[in-house]
Amino acid sequence: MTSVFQQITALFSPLWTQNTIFMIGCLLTTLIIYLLCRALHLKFNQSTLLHPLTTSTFVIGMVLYFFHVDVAEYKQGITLFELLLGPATVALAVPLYNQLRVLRQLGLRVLLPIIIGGTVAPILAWLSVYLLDTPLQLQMTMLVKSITTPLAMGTAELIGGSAELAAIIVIITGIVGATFAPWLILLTKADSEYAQGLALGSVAHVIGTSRALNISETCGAFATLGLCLNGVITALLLPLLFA
Amino acid sequence: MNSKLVCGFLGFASLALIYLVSLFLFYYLAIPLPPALIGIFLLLLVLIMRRSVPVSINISARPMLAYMGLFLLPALISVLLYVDLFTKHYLALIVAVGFSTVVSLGITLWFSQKILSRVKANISVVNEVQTPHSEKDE
Repeated sequence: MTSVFQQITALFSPLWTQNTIFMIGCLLTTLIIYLLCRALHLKFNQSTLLHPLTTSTFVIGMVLYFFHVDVAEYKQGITLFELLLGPATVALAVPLYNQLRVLRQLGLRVLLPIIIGGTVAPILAWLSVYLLDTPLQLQMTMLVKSITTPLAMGTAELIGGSAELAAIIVIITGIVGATFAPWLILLTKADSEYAQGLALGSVAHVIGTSRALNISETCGAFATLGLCLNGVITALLLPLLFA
Repeated sequence: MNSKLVCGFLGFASLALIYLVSLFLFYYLAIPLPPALIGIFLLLLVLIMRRSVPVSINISARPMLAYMGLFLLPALISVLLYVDLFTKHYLALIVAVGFSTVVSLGITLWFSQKILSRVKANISVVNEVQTPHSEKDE
């Protein structure tokens, strides 16, 4: 029992063991850069190539390089944001709950596309890294590439991958998916908004979902369902299979 | 205004509490699931039993989901720690993340279209999806 509390406090301890001024400086800098990149993204019609996460990672990297700040130290400095990811992920239950009605109405017809998307994407990705002979850590991380980042990070860690690597791979997957989506929709002649939404949400997670919302509100709702269900099912199954 | 702030804070406190409970369950019972997923199930259970989303949870869930990107930056910035791995396996990564994503999205679109092409607008879609993603982020 006590060791459980020790493990949990260990997660929070960087908040009080480090220099407070350095920590506040890191947090403020990160917040400002992120908000600016987000504004830039909105200004350019939410072009996926200017996704705020890629641009702010790039800007922060430049800042760290320019001011000679150690990456590991900086990561300690923004532990607070890392800790807030937990409660924010729990909040995903709200959109999932809101879409349960669609699931009840269509049942297997929405479940099946999500299951197809949720199996084909990780298997193809894993197959390519397996055949190209990469470290096991990278192979395991690839399995979570299609699910929403916070769940992907937790799952990757449990199955022997790396949480940080997962975050990067997942974001790039989303950007690739959302960028090629309009072209693929034409190619496969998928004119059903439901089909588009489910495919985008289950293969390209949140970034695909925002693309779906550009198509229509309905498409976005189905993408949200695809995103939540695929995330939950994959995060549930992978650790049971591999942990 | 003020009551909305209090409400939002209460909602955040409940989300944080649920997360702490799931962390506790994760370590204490050694449940092999990501702690955040345990939290999702707990909150979903509460919502299904209440048959509605409490106002406080709704008010705090919106901004938390919309600005989730900020909470992901600590992980993403580690890309700088993995430069070696990326340069070493760049071909595998391009194939796995680029090519295979495009192919799987194509396959999924094609199948979904086959399954859903005959389903037409007799479905009432809940339009409160603006919750997280209409602010187009993470």
